[in-house]
Amino acid sequence: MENRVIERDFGDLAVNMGPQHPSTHGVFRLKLYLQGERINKVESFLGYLHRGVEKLSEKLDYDQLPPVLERDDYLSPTSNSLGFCNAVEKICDIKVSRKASYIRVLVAELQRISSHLVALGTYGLDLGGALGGGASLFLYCFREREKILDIMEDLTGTRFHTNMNQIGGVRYDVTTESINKIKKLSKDLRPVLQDFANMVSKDEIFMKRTKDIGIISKALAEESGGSGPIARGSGINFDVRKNKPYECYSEFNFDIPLGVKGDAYDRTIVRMEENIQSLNIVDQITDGIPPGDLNSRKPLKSSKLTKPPKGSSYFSIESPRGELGFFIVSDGTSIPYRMKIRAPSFSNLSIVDKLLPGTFIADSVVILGSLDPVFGDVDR
Amino acid sequence: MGDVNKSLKDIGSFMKLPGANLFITSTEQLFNWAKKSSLWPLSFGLACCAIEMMATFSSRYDLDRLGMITRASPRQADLMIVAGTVTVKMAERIKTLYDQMAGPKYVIAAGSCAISGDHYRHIYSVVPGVDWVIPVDVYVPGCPPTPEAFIDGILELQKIIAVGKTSPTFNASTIENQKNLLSEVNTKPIKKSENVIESKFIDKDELLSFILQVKKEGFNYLKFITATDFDNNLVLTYLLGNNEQNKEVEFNIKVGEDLKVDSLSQIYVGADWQEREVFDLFGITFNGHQNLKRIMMPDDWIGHPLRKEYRMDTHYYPYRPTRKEYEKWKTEL
Repeated sequence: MENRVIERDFGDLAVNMGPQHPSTHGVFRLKLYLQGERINKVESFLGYLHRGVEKLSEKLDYDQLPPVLERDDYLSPTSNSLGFCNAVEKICDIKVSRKASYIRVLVAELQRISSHLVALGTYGLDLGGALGGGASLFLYCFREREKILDIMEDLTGTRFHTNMNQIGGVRYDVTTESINKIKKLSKDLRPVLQDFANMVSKDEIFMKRTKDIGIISKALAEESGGSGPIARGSGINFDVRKNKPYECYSEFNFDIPLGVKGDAYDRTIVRMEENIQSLNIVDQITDGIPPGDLNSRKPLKSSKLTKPPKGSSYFSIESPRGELGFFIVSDGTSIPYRMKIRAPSFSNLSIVDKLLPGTFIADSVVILGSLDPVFGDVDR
Repeated sequence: MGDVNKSLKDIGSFMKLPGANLFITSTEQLFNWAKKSSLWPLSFGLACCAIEMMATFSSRYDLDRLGMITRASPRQADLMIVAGTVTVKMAERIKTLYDQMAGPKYVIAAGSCAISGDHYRHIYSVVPGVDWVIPVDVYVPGCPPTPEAFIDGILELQKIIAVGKTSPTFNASTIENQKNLLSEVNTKPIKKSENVIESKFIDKDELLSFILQVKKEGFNYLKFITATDFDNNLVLTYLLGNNEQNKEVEFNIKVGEDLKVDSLSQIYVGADWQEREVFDLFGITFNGHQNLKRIMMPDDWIGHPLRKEYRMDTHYYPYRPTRKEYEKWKTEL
């Protein structure tokens, strides 16, 4: 009997991914148009966590804003308030004491490690089978992250929305007892982070899943506004900490790890090496925090008293996800006339539209995870 | 909503057999024990609280010992932990997910945003508490709640299940009949500031030629595009960077009465989303943009939120009540 196969072209199959999908790392929706296993076209939908922070900031005083902004990029809350405080200090021309600056950097760098650990842990879940069940990497990373959160709790009383930064300085002092704890943490963490880096960079399955997947060319990374590990993974030597040093970063010794190819593997390796570099900075800080005031301003009787002069200014810092900037327009009152948050995740994620077409559907999860978006930051 | 968690007693009286009521009442305890000991939550995170929820599920706190394993599909789950801010765009999806879950099902609202909207409650896009969308059994306060608080909330829910008493809170019924009303253009008179931006202004017609020239000089890195609503003009601000020479160029254009500007999406890839955001929040149209749709707000949204005259507390039925309704609900509490 003749075996006949009739092939008919039904066009593309549209598959929805998200907004409730564990590997979109939050609330993000992708509409994938598939031809077999290949992705032909992508439509992305965001705004599921649009909380209108920019509108809210037009109602609140400058001094009330740092805690609100910390809820933005919730994996590294201090970098939000750090960027904002620096932007306001730039307009108002407030100098921060070296001690306060050291403490700010200390907290920011510890949170950079904890943020990258979450990125790696959830990436392990995304890759599923890799690294012995996927969940084990997640559990390892969160185990180490808890130790950092303990330090945060010790320093500020909260686990990760630290509320450490305020305009003009910091809120809490660092005691010698805490310094000793951080020194011990750094000593414990270094071999573990090295272990993770080895585990990732030498694992056969991990390499097979991530090498040559989601290659971002230098031009694409730049033109779409990519920064942080996404840009550095593609070999762009851009780090705000080095290019436009803020706080006291120019006093420390650290390297900027760079990728070569710009694939998902390179981006992960860059994150892992950044962890080690952050630990180097933490070590240099704990070696000696200079004496000084916590806040260079006198305590204010009301938050209405901070009134920057008329004008606009842009200040950016290096958050774990890239260049986080604050564009503030001041009309001379105690409330920002307009505040734009230059969110690194927003620009980084916009690469997805260009990156996914032509890849396999199984790789879409790998690519999305390697961009490490945080949706509080994307949607604001 | 009410018959989802129908107790076994009701079935006993429904069967009308001699002794059925007695038999089923005593098995109910057994079933309640089984229900509370294997709560399978939907792995579903919204914002910051989801990170603490993940921490609760992982190494140190280990929720597996309470019989909880996360499920990615709502069909297999019987507990929904709403961890994070609920927005009007997400509310519909949460409702769908809740409806897809098989009964008996329970909801924990974790964190102040899910309970009341917290400091975002008067923002146009935020639902002031998830109980305006789905019924909630247990509230876990905190911003974000610590893992200990999460565990406490789950133990509290287990207690409720063990005695067979669930009386979830649900607010949306009061505004159900106004379902078809969407957000209206909700504006207020406001005194706007004169232009205070001091950096370079270029002419609107020269934008494309200027950009092409700047790009030739190596300014490839598009940092952001944004707008500011001034007294008689919207001002667009562009910031471009040159990574190799470590330089920046910032310039502005005045958007005229017609609110139309040439699009950069053909020159910079990243301008695609940036311009969509400006279109969504300010209502500036970009000529030549291929896909100029709303990006942050739902498609049927009316008005442009970041304009100065736009009221921050605009309502959006059925999930977001007006300020008046919200205050009334608060006093009735």
